[in-house]
This record gives sequence, C-alpha cells and structure tokens, in this order.
Amino acid sequence: MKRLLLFILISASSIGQTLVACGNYPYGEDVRFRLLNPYNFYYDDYSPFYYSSAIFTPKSLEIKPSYQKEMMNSLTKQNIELWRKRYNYIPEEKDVYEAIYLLKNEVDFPNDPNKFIQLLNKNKDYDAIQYLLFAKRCEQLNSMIDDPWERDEYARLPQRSVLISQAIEKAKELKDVDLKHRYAFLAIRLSYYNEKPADVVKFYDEFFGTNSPENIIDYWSLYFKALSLQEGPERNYLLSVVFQNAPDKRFMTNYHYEKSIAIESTLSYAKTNRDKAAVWLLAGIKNPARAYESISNIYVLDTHSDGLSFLLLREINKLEDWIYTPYYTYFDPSISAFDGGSNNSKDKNMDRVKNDREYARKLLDFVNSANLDKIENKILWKTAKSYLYFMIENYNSSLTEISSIQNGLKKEEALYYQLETIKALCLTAKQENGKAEILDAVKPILMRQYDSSNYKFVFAVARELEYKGNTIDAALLMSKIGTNDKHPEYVFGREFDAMILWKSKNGYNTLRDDYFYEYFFYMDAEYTPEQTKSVIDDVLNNNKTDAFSVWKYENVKKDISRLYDLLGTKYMRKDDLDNALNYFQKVKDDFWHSKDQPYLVYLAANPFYTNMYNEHSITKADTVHYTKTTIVQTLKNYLKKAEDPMNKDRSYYFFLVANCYLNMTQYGNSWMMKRYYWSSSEYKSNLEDDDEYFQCDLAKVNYLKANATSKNRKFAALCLRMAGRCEKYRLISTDTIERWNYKGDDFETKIFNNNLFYNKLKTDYSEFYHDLISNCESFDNYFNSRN
Amino acid sequence: MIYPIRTVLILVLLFTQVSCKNQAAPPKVQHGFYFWKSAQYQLTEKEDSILKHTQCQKLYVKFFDVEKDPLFFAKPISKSELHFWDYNNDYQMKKDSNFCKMMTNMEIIPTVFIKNEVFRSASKGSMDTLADNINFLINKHYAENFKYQQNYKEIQIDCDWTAKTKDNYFYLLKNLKSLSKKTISCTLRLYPYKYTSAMGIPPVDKATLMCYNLISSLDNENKNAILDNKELESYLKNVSKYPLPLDIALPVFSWMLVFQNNSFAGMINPEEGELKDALKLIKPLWYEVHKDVVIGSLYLREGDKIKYEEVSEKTIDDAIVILKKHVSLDDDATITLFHLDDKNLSKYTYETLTSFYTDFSK
Repeated sequence: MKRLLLFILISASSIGQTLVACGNYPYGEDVRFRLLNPYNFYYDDYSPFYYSSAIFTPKSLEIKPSYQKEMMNSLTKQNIELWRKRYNYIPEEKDVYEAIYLLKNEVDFPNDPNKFIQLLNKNKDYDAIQYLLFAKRCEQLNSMIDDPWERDEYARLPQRSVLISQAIEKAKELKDVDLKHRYAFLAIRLSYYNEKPADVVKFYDEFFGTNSPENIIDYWSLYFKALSLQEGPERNYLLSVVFQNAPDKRFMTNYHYEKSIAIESTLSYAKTNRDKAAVWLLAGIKNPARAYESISNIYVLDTHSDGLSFLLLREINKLEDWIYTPYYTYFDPSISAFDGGSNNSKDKNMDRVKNDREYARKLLDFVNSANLDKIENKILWKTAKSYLYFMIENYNSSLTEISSIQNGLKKEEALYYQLETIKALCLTAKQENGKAEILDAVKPILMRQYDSSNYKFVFAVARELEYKGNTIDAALLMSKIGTNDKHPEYVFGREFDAMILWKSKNGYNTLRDDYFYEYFFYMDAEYTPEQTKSVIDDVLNNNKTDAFSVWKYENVKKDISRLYDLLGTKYMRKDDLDNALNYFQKVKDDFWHSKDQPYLVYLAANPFYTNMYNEHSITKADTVHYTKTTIVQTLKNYLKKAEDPMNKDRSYYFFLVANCYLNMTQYGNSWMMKRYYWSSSEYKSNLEDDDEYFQCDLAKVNYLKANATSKNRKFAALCLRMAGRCEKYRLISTDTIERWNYKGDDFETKIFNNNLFYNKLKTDYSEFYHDLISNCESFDNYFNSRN
Repeated sequence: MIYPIRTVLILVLLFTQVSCKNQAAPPKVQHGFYFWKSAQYQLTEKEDSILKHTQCQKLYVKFFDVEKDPLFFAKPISKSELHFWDYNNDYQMKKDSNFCKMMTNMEIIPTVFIKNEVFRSASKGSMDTLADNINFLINKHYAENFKYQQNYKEIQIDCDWTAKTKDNYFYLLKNLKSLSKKTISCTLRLYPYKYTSAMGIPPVDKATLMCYNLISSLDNENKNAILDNKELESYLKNVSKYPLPLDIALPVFSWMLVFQNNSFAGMINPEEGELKDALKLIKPLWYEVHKDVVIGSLYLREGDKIKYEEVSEKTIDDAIVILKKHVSLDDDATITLFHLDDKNLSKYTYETLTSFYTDFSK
C-alpha cells in the first residue's frame, strides 16, 4: 500500500512547480541556463538560428501569429522593395504586399482596387500584370508533391512542363530585364520541383549567366541552382551566398549545406571579401562549437555585416550554456557530446567550465579590440562585452559596461531589464566569501524578475549566495521558485525562464533522480542540521516588515513545522534520538495530522511490529497511529527498559527496539523517519546513513542483543532469525556486481548460504531451524513463547 | 387442357430463361470476404478466426480508391495498409499448421474502387494513363504487402458507373485487362444488372452482383436501405440471364445514421462505446437518444434520432432464396460477404456466416 501511495507524497509536497514528466530525465532546453534573450536584439531574419538545443524544432511553430506576420513581412521585404523600385518607391509596401501575396482571385486581379494594381494599369504596365497573374498560376505547383501513384518519390507534373515552356518563352521575348528575370526564375523554380536539375542549371546560366547576383530574384534563382548541383564545395559556396542575401531561404540553405566539406575548398569559389564572409557565416551558423574563427574572419572581411553581430550573439548564448548550466545547476550543458546517457563527472564539467571561461576571455579580447564604430550593432557588442566580463569573473568591468549601456536606454526597454539581471549577479558574486548578502540594489531586481516568473535568475542569485557561504538567503530565495501565482505576459525567448532544475554539489540523489525542483528537498539533501537550524532561526528572528523581507520570508515562514520535521529527521539519520525528539517536539501537533502532509498515510502503521517477512503491507498490529515525535519517545522508552539490567523483559524490549529500527529502513513501514522519498529501486541517496538505511545494522544489533538476553530458547531462536533477515538485506545491498551474473534462484541461494545468522540458527537452534526458515506462519508461536 | 404448341414453346422458353434457375444442379460456391478498411495494418485475431472458421478461400482487399484530382487527373486515396502477413511474427512459429497453410493459400484479389466522377469528361489518353497507374500500384502494393502469398490472378474494379460514363469506364477495363493479363472482374449493382441495354455489359471476365444498398437510406425512412428483399426481388425477377459469369456479394454489416435537428449529421458504428445503453426504440428501425453520449467525434444529445440499419440472419437467408430462384450461378461462383470486420461480425456465429455460403449449394 505504501508503495502505491508513493507519488502522493511527492505531489502533496511540491508547490506549483511544473515537474518533468515521470520517466523523462531532463535535457536540452529543460536544463539550458540562459539569461541573455536573443529576441531583445531583433535579428528576426536569423531567428531560426538563435542558439537552442532544440535544433530540430522549426521556430515558426513557437511564434505567435502576430509575430509571424511581422516575420513574414521581413522575409518578403526584398521582393516588395524590388517592385516598389520599378515605380521609384511610390507604391506603399502594404499595397504591394497585398497585390503579390494576398490577392488570390486571378479573374478579378487586373481590375482589383488595390492601389499597386491600379498604378500598373495607369501606367499600362500590362506585362507586369500578366506576369503577376502567371506567377499566381504557378503558386500551387511550387512545392514537391508526393507522387500518389508511387512511381517516383515526387511527381513530375505535365502542368508544370507547360508553365515552364510558357515562362521561358516570355523570358526570351521580353526586353524588360526585371520581368525577364522573374519569368526565368519561375521556370527555374518549376523545373526544380519537376525534378529537372539539369534544366535548372541550364536556365540559370542562360538568363543569369555569370553576372553577380544583385537582387532577391537573382538570389532565389541561385538558390535553386545550388540545390540542383551535386554535393560539393561549389554547392556549399552558392548556398552560403544565398544564406547571406536571401533571409527567407536561410532555413533551407542551412539544411542543405554539407558540413563535412572543407571550408578551404568552399572558399576557393569566393572571389570577393563579402562572398568569403558569406562562407564563414554559414560555417559559423552550422558550428555548434566555438565559432571564433568565423567571427574573427568575418570581422576582417565584412565588418559591417549583420551576420557578424548575429554570430557574436549566438556565441554569447553558447557560452552562457557551457558555463552557467553546469556552474549553477550541475547539469551538463544542453548541447554536449552524447556520452551514452551517463552524465559527465562534476569535476570534468568544472574543468570544462574553466576552459570555457578562458574562451570567454579570448572572445572578450576580440570584442575589445574591435572598432565598434564600424560594426552593425554597437549595443549588442557592448552587451556582449559586459556579459563576457561577468563570465570571466571581472565583475567591476562588467558593472561599468552595464552602467554605460543603461545610460543610453529607456527604463522600459527589455534590454534595460536584461542588463539588470547581469548586474544583480555581478553585485552578488563580487562579495567576499562568508559575507555575502542580498544587496539593496539587487532586491528590486529579484522581485521584478520573480514577478515575471524568471526563476532561472532567482535561482542563479541564490546559487551565488550559496557559493559565498550564505546558505540562509540561498534557501529563502530558492523557496520562491515556482510560487508566483501571477501569469506574466508571454515574452519571446523567455519560455523556459520559469523552469529551473538543479543538482546538488555533493551528488545527493534523494528523490527519484539526482536533481531538485523545490528548496525543501534540496535542503533535505544538501543542508547540514546546523545550516537547517540557521534557516529556521533566521526566519523566527526576522522582524523586518519591508516589502522585500515580506516577499523573501513568506514561503518559509509557513514551513517552520516542516523544517523542524526536517531537522529532526536529519538527527534521526545520525541516530541522535535526543536531538531528533527535541526538534520533532517543536513541530506543531496538527502538522502530523494535516492532509497536506504525507504522514496520515506513511506513518499509519505500528513501527514496533514486524515479522519475518513483512515490509510495507498492513499488519494486524497497525491499530495505532504514531507521529515522528511519539515514535522517538516510545523508542527511547523501550531502549531505556532494554538496557536496564534489572528489567526482566530486556530481550522483549530489545526485540521491539530492533523492530522499530528495521521499520525505519528501506524495508519497513516507517521509512519516513529517515527519508522523504521511497522507491523499490533502492536508489542510493548518498546521505550519511545510506549504509544503515539499506543494511539494517541497528536493527540487527538489537535483535542480537535480544537473542543474548533471552531466557527462552525458542524466542532466542526467533531473534536470531530476525537478525538473519537484516543480514540478508546487508548481503543484497552490498552486492553490486554479482547479482547480475546470477539467474533466477541462484542469487537467492547464494545470499542465503552466506548468511551467518541463518547458519548459526541451523547449528545452535537446529530443532527450530526448519520451522523458522520455511514456515511463514510460525512467527506468532515463537514470539509468544517468551511468556 | 390442351395448349397450342406455340404457347407451350413460349412457356418452356420463359421457364428455362426466367423462372427455372433453381432447376440446375446447385453450385459448389467459393467462400469470400471483402476487406474494406484502410487504416488497419493487419487482421485482428478475431478476423483471422472468422476466415478460418468460414473456410474463406478468397479475400477481396480494397487496395485504394481513385478520385478525380485537379493536378493528377485521378489519384489514389485511402490506400490499404493491410499486410498479409508477416512471417517474422507469430505465424513463423506455426507455419506448418493447417491454419497457416490455409491462409497462405487464400487468394487475395486486389480491389479498387473508382469514383464515377473520374470517368466524366475524360480523354482516352487519361484513361490509358489511369489503367497503367492502377496496374502499377496494385503490383507494387501486392509485392510489398503480400509477398508470402501466391501471386494474384484477378483484379476487381468497383464503380457505380452510369450510362454517360460507361464508355470511358469500359475502355479502362479493357485497357487494364490488356496491361495486367489477369482476370478482370467488376462489381455490378442491381440497376445495370437489370437494365443492360442502357448501362451496357462491362468488358470483363466476370461480375459480382452487389445485393445491398439498393435504395437511399435517407430517402426511405421506413425501409432498411442495406438490404430490402422486396426491392432485391424487384430487380431480379423477369430478367434475362446476364451474359457474364456472376458472383454474389451479400451484406453482413450494420450502421447507424444520426439525425440532429431532423438533418443527417453523420454515421456511426453501432458497436462503438456505450451507445446501445443511450438509445430507446421508438419505431421499427428508429431510435431516440435518451441520454447524452459522445461517440467518436459525434456528440449525441437527448432527443436526437438514429436510424439503425442492420441485416438479420433471416433477411440474408430470404435473400439467398430469392437469389437462388432468380440468378443462375456457375459451379465455381464466389459468394462474398461484405465485409470482414470483427466488430460488425460479432452478432453472427461462425456457423451462421458459413451457412450464408453453403446455402447456395443446397
């Protein structure tokens, strides 16, 4: 029963935090630490390439409809501008957009009241109108269509062939270069979808030749030419040029670019610096590792390009993942070499963090050496500089840089608040070890970020305080995680701010897995009894009423009984019954009976009763209900009687004490005296009493004492049988390898044969041996025999 | 009474051509089923069992439907997923069993339903392409999904052709025969069976007479549209012998037509969910929903009306009597039940299903 109710315990104890679904270990975006929101820098044309571990998730799915519209405008802008250029930019963008992308009715199109169409009519530009109509006819054929008859993967449609011929005819006939190219482009695109790569190349060479592409039609045509070439450096080169110049083709050029081709051979096709920069840009985008070479080369070749600034932004997001995911959470960075599922060791991760901080220093040196007046996005570079200073732990320089940027920003700008978070972390981290506190300047930032459920940031400040030795404020801040009831407005790029999972520095594994999502369980694992007591004392001694103090203490203040329970439990793990009782007695009595707590279920059993087999099932003795306090009181009382040489029933009391100790292990009905999570999988928690918890040493010692003090031979045999049960757990628990080499009953047999106490039972109490070992109903007979 | 010789001759002729179909020796019919489901990867255990117990020899598997398409002129949709079957799974263990032998020897007849619209305003060239495509796709799917079966011998085309589309349809059938070199059969509704001069005789090797869905369910409130034996007999009697060898298809399915606000709202499977508990009979064939219930994607509300059409054992038995009386069958004629679906067939015992075949031989 208790096993079945296990999850009730967990759900009753968690406060609103979204849990990772059972069975899934967090990875990727679940764990990636990020403070710098790339959306604050408006690289919409590059948004599919914002750094993310979810590289296979099309970004358009994550975007709000209104934003999608803006992005669509941005992606279609160059084509619209080209049409506007035809009429000296007189037509408005929206009219051109509507005429080209929205009007679908071909019949009414030439007479549509759309201002751009009217302008074409007014200027008797019937060729342009005819072209637009023709282009609309081609629209439905502009995609690969599966061959429903399954002769080929994609269908070659005769309708396309007809349109291709018509387009080529028009391209040849027209003198208007703009329309000539547009028709040629339509023929090229239709040929590509009709799986005629040779025609694509032929048409491209015929109509675009070797001239350098100039406008979006040229680049779109080049895109289809690139796709029609065999994989190789030339194709990679053309894809790079298209990537650089045609934003709407970026996602697909990135997809088709072949990383394994050496960049030197690709570069050999590039004749101009800008083309060479294009090659470095796409290589940089494709590079999940350090892209310093791309960044530094583009800086030399094409200093003012937006691609350069974007690559820098991406590099900062990479670095914060590489450094702060392990530094703050002890998870591996979200993008790391797959190592077969096992996480890297903590030390290895921290070595890597050290290396990555060195890389941050190198990048910072580069940024510092750059002429910011020549680059495209000064504020991004300055932000990068401030963050890189923070990464290399040069907090003062970071703060100076932040201050200089903030002076030029309005307070309501997203970037202003963004910089605040780095500032708060700098201010916290720069404090002396052992003297760190939540500074006044940091307090409003914490509250503001909490209001937008940015728990990643709140946790980062908590972690910095913890590292500086202020475990009290760390716990208080962690108690805020997952507790904001407000629903902050959706902000792009901040979808995962509200999710923070972290591991303990010392590798505790006290829940189902080795990570935490709530301060209480983290304290259970990581905090010493003294640290726990300090948190309680701090909360009880607080009499501040300012808004921040109220905010900081409000959750833990409600948890005082829970923390006293935790403190008592920590002493139980030390078998320090006096201290445990002392703190359990401070727990409010109604706490043990509260429906919000697990004890009505998990302590609803008699800890002083067990038999030769029972672990968690209900027994006939479960007619009483204990609290942790009354269990310890009773246990102390029985211990006192057991150890009193004058007591006639010493063996009986030793036996009850042993029962209680056995029940307070993994295998008993009162495991909650020592743990807050139970699993049949016997995960080792790394807590100090793991050996006792899984090997039942205290129970065994007391069963042996009961055996030694028993005056009744039959009862003494039972005591030995019970000591044998404890020994069995020890043998199983300490066996780490051999268990898997045995099959079926072989392992059980081996454990049984190695059990010293069963062997002793056989030699010293041979007349009871068979009955005690094989008769599962013999317990009561032997237990009652002491009378 | 003495009849003039001419009258006698006429009577004899009439007797032999129209009325005396049951005078010939009863045929040893072959047992068949249609499998018409698209999204089922393999037969269920129950469906396997039905084939075994009814000693089914032929399975007409609908491979795909063909509909008109603006890009491709005609394209296949609702392609069958059925794999028959996978020796890597359980059957491998039992491949020497009688059951397994029976299943591998069972004849699979690729069946294609073509919507009549495909033949309207179609060129001969498009018919040539369509025949070629159908032949190609059947071969491809058969090779992929039925690789342990013997090669197929027959293709069946199902189409509700009209007088206006018959030329194109018949052209396609001829073309398919020439391309595939297989036996070509087609389905035959009762209307073209009766009115051969208007509807023509399809150029196929044989035809399967479809003895169901004779009338519109929506237009015939008080009739069971799946099988109404009066209607059936009206089509069969006084009809000359059809000039093609005939097989027979009989219905073993049921459906429920849902009417909300007196308008047809959709069809549901009678076996779904807790439907029967929510219905109250109000008159023959008609039920009223007496408590709200969700069936599939339909939300049935109290007061909605349902026409429940099913075919009882007796109705089929009566149909068989009518068919034996009016339709002459060859010795190797196939009786095919529509269709193999474990839910729909749950109301019939194996014996009953088998009797739908064997009654033709009595």
